[in-house]
Amino acid sequence: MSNAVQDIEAQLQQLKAEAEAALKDTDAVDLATLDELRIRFLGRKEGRLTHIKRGLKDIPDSERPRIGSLANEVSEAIEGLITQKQQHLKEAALNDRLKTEAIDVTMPGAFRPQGQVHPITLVVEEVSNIFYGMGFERIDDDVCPEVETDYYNFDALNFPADHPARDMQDTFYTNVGKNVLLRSQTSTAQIRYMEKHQPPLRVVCPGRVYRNEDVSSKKGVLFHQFEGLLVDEHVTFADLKGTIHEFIRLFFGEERPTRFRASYFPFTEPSAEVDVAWQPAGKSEPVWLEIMGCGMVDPNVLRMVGIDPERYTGYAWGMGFERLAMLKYGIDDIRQFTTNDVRFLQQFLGA
Amino acid sequence: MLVSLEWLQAYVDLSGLAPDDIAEALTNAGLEVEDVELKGGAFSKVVVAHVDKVEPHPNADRLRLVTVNLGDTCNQVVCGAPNVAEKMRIAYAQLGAQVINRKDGTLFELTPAKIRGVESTGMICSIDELGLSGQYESSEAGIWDITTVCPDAALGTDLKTALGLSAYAVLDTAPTANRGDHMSMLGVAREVAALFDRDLKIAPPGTLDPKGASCPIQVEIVDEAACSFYAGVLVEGITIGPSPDWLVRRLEDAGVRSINNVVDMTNYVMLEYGQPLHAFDANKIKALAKSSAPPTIGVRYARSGETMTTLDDIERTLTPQSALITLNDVPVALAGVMGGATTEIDDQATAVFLECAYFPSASTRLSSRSVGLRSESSARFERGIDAATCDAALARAVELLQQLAGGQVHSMVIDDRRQLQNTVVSLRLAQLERVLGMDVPQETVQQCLTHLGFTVDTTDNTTWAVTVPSYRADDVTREIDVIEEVIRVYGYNRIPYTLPAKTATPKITARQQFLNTIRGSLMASGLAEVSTASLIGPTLVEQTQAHIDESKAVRLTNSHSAEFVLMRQQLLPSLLDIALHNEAKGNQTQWFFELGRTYLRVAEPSEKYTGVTETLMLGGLIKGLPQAARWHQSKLKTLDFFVVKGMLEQLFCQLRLPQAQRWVAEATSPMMHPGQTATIKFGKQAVGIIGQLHPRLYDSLKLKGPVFVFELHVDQLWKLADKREPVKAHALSAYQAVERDLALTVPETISHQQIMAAFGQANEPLLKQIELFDMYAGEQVEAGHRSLAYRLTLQSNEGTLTDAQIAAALDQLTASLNQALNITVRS
Repeated sequence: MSNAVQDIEAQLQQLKAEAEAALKDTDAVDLATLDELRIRFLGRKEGRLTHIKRGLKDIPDSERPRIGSLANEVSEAIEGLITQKQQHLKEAALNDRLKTEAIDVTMPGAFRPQGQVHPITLVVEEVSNIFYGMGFERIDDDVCPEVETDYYNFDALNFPADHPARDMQDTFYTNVGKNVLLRSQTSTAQIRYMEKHQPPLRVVCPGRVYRNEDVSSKKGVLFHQFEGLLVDEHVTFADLKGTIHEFIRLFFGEERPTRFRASYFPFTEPSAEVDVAWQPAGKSEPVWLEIMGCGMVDPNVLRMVGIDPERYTGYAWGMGFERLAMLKYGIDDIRQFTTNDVRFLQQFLGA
Repeated sequence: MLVSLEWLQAYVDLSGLAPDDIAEALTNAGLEVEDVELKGGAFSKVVVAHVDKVEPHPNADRLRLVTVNLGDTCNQVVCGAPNVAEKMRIAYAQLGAQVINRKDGTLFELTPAKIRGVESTGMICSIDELGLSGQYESSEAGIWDITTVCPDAALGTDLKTALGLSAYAVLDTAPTANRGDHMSMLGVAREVAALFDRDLKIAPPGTLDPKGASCPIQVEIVDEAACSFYAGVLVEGITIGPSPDWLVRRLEDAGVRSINNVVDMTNYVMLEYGQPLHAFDANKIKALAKSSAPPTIGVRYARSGETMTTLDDIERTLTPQSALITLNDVPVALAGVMGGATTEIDDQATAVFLECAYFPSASTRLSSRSVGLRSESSARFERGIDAATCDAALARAVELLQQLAGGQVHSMVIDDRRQLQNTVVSLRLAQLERVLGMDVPQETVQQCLTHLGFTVDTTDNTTWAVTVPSYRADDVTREIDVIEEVIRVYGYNRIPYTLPAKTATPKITARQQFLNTIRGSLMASGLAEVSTASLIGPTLVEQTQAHIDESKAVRLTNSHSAEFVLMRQQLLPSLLDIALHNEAKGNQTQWFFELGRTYLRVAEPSEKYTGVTETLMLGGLIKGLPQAARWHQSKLKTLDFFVVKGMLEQLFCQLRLPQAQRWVAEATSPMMHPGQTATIKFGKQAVGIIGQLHPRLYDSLKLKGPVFVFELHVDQLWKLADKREPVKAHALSAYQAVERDLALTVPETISHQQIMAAFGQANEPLLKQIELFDMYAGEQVEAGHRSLAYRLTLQSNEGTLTDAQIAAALDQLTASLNQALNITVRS
């Protein structure tokens, strides 16, 4: 074997050993040093391996493949070490970063302002949904004005002229005309709807009504009512009871003792008021709380809008949303609904 | 009406019926009982006792140790009443006694007690603790001094025995507007008899014989519309005096104050029969008439400008709707409403002219309203009295008058124009099932009606002839009314529950969905929905300096409250009203919106048209920073115009309203900040305003500013939204978009909106989006100018953009800016 071969072999082994030694001391090596080492050992122009490989031309042809492959092995080994080291360093750097990025995840998140709808809206939506399910279309309350004529509020609803029934609700009158008032009941919607539609009819209409009363925790001058109307062939009081019973079950989420008691409304006959049993806090006995008035549509009302009462019957009801909301959410003062205290409203977040 | 069961049982056997059962049955049948009050002795184990000794309490200045003598034994009571004194007779509640808790009116049982370390056995009662304040008077606060009330009763006697009390209940009933008969004891008795299947015990009064001496006072009904029956009885030789105790108590139980025997008699018969009566002093009638013709009582409507003084000494100005009783054409009473001062019964009266008349309901109502006076009498005539029993009620009245005040019937005079006939209603039995949805047995139907006093002719077995009793003639006139009578008595609770078959499957309308989207978007922006009163008053108008268009104002003419007199013309004052409330409660952060109506009169009303338009508005009020203490850097640090504008921009996006919205700077109202207010327009259509409230206004309201508000016409937004094309997905470009930034230095007079319009005029098809990403005005920018930086996004669907295409597009855009606004873009 020629000296040249031995010499080049030794140089390659030496290079490998040197590289191994240089990359062994992990702490001293960072990514920049690693680049320097790569250039020093493996750099294409001035690298030690390139330098050694220049000696290949001086060795015999028979030995050249062996030595050439040895040079490649050394090159790959060093390359491997460097890559491994590089991986290691990157991993360490990432770990360092993750460590510094650690946060207190229990701190509150970025603030998003929270809004909520008014409790009356909540109840309107819920009640409407229940009646959608029972096949009642909701009429937009915009088709039913709050400022009304006494024709719609009284005459068409079978209130006799100059009859004390007109005092049943204390009605606000306006400067617009002697017959122009603020509607005292959403039953005006019955007439306005039936003037334009023929049976079968099945509608509900929420809206604002007004009473000229002294404001207290139980009564306000304005509140929200929900009118329901069904007119068809073969409609009975039993259907009315079934509909209301089903509504109460769905609204309160459970069966509630309910009673229908006779009452008087000019626009229904027979008429009833509906009470549900309610357990007031701190009292031993439940009490009956009135939640709505209802009844079979009076034949006179059907005649007023050109519907034949011998062919069709119907039923109607009007209930107060404030009362329903008070029962459902345990609100004890009706004035809360129009006072709109922020703290009151915020309770209905997500309700 | 207050219905005493002690009185009621004179007409119907109530034995075995508890007051609560009667109340419940009446309520279920349509006569709502609002309260059941126990009279005369709800208490028990209370005895008459004597105060032997009063000593100071060792541990309390205000309490005393009282030695109470019960006759055979003495007890020591700790008493806090200031009026307790030795030698006083008192009502002593023994251990185990039931007395009334003054706080809530319920009964409670006395147990042994130790008060401030001293044993107290039993209690000395106040009049309220016994529930006797309606029947007896106690002159002083504290315990009830019965020294003069039961001076002779042996000590230890049960108080009820000593007072002669028996327990009974008084029902507070609320008759409905159709039931005149429920405003009489006999009417309620009939109802109870029907509901409990009991017999009535109504003794018919004797009849009056009109054929006696001719009456010196004549009667003439002039206006038949005002009166169809007028009878007068002249009774002479009566003695005015107090009424007997039983009568006083029954009147008081009914809530009527005792006056004298004659007046009390008229009230008693009114309560009993439901027939109002009036007693004139006959001598005063004769005296008043002396100067002119012989006395003639007339019934007519007033002439304009006539006046008269009623019993309450108020001079009333009458109108042609006021129905009058006249004496020789001079007004002496308001028919069916109130008597007059000139013929009032006083202590010297010796002869009365007793009036019993039928005044029709509508006429009485108008008459009562014409003078603004209502009475127990007018309330009954308005609901309708029983025209057929006027005679019987008069006979009863005369009988009772003589019993109470003596005297002899001199004569009687009648003008009777009644056309009494029975109402007969055909009842098709099949209709019961058609209306009620249940089969009511025929014998039950008959029984229910018969119990109520109806006569049923069952000859035809499909259609019965039902004769309505006279006392129900006003409200039972049709088949449906008879059906209601049956089910009222049979019981609504017997009707089954069924559900009608579905006829349609409705869904939420597009407009309702639109309103829900508005709510959802504003909620997501952090706003709370409020609901404010649509009625406002002068205080709020003045406070908020709101402009009211008087020519269009809808004002209330009869409001009980000064603060609810005007239908609002905008939402802003209502929103400020709740802002004031919240500010006062320390709620500084207020982010509100409301969907509410405003009201304007725009035309003359007619029978079915009000001439008033109602507009649904969307109002908002935003002040204060929510959760200002949050630590995170992303928190909202300032509240300005653009924060609020962003909420509306987000809303318009959610509603998919056209992009072509314009924000036109103008302060349309003195309520608004002149430099921070804009009208919002879509095309030429203004849909609302947004801006900062004028600082002068929020300062004067003591609201911590700045306060931002908006108010939009919902229906105009809805019209825009209704024209929206349905969402259609389009293909995405396969080629990358390119962004280029343009910094423009422009005079302050040129608005962002103008620049955007100029970009738009370029009609550059590659331009997909423009975003203003920076604004700077300051040292490095020429005075009167500002620097605006826009990011343009260019993209093609046909291929990757080349530099040349990009340059051409930018040239096109900058040329447009230059042409439209004379802006030079520096490269």
